[in-house]
Amino acid sequence: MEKIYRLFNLNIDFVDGKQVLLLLIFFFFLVFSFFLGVSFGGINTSIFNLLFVEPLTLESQVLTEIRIPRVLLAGFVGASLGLAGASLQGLFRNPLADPGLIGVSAGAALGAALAIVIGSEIIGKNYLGFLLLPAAAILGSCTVTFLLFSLTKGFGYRGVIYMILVGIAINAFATVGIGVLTFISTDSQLRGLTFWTMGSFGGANWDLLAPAVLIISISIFFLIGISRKLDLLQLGEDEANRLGVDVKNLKLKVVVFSAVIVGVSVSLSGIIGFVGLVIPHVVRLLGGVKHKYLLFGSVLLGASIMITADLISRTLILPAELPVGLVTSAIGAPFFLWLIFKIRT
Amino acid sequence: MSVDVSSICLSYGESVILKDISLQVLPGEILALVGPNGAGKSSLLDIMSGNKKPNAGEVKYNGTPLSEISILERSTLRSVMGQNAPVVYDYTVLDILEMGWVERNLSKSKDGALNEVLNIVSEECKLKTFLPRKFNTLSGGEQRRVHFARSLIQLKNTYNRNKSKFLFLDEPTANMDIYWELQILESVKKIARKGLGVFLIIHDLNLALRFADKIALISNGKIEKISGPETFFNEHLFSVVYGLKMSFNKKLMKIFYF
Repeated sequence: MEKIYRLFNLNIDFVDGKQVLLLLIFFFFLVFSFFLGVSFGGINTSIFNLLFVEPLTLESQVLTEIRIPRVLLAGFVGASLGLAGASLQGLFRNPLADPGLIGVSAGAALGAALAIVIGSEIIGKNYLGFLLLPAAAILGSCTVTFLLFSLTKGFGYRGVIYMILVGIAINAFATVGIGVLTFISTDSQLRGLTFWTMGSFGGANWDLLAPAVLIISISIFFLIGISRKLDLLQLGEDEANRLGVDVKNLKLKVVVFSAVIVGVSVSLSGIIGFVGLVIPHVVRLLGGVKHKYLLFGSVLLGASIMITADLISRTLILPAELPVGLVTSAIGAPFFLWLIFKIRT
Repeated sequence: MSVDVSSICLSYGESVILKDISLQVLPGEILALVGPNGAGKSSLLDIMSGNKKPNAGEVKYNGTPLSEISILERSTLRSVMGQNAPVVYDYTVLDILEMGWVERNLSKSKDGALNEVLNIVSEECKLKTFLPRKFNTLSGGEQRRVHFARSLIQLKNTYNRNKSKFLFLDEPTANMDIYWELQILESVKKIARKGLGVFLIIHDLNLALRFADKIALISNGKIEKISGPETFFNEHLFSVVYGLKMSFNKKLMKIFYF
């Protein structure tokens, strides 16, 4: 049976030529946005300066210490939000599922806020203190996910509307929690809190980035590896089971990996809505619904859109900066509307 | 080599769904299960396919208890055409068909299996022109045909070739027109004659008489009778189970009810 397992897990054999082409386009868009992202900002520069200019100039320091980590962070956060949205929409068999809508992001933000206000002593002093924030955010998102899992009796299909209602309740509860924490926090803690609720990539640095990149990369490869099973799940849980999928195991894995990448993303950048919901729809509308294409596409497009949105947020009203969540919604919503009308007519 | 169901009991709290059910699905044979709504037909199918665990009793595939066969391996031994949930996203008919293919990729399969599969799709189910269409745009009966083809394709996998394989059908002809009703049951019979064991849940008693080798009547979670079609009818028993006046014409092999 080993052979079948291999066939089930490894499925990078794209059959559809159009989908391969689209993925290539997404990839070039990603590379392009990366170069734009590192080149423009308060100081305009180019990544090629790193190769030709001596390393201690202001320009190259801006690049290595600020610009590149920031663009990388935006890319990885965009990728994980897109991927988490696509996986959850597949798992719940509901196009409305989104880490934001069902309260997973809010749970992560509440965890992060708790860490900022209550754990601020540890963050500054302990050597591993900088990991407290991501850990608290992951814990928050996992708690919400398991709460959802048990309240909806294992994400049953009939419980979908119920699940979204539960998500709304959890969102409200987390908002209250963050509100209370804001109220009791000191001035310096308040600055940190505001950062989470608005969403920004301004806090990027290599120490935080390295573990996040590792965790997110592993999750991306893992989730893409089970895309075939997500396809089979669309026939219903019983049917997927009869086709050879261990459904319980699949649900657990998708939920845990999505919660982890959303938790990591939120801990680094705050809540950025809209991307997780819309990116998978755009990818689907352009090229089809099969999950191996959908998950790959959501990773690539999510990353490039987020880098572009971040670029706009920090260059539009220089020297000030817009919250990036505002930008993602402002460019994404009309584009999404246009796409729906174009495809439907 | 058979599917053996022995002394299956199932209950939820106070309500008893299945009482001491035993039956056997043999290769090359169609066993039909008939009975009123809520008699426990689909629950029995769920237990036989491994979706539900019984409170007591055991199911064996080819002598091995179901609990000792992995979920993946089960999918190579039996396929099930259940009463399907709606598909949310816009998969094409080809996508749905490929889901039955354990080797995953229809276009890459070797050793003639692909030809057999295409034969099922185009000859048995006449789905060739449907392949690029969106599954959700098909009518209910057409969707059932796609699911039927998918469950046949599942059994064409090359694993466990030396073992007997089985096909479980839960009202396969629901929503189909009379032409396809007969056509699908004809293909089931043809495939059974090639050595497949078939378990068929069906409401139409006359179709059961016409196509099945053995028929079982289930009522209130209990098997009331198992026999060949000729000796199946019992006026008193059937009138009680269905609450209708019934009679049987032996020459026509047809049951009439009023």
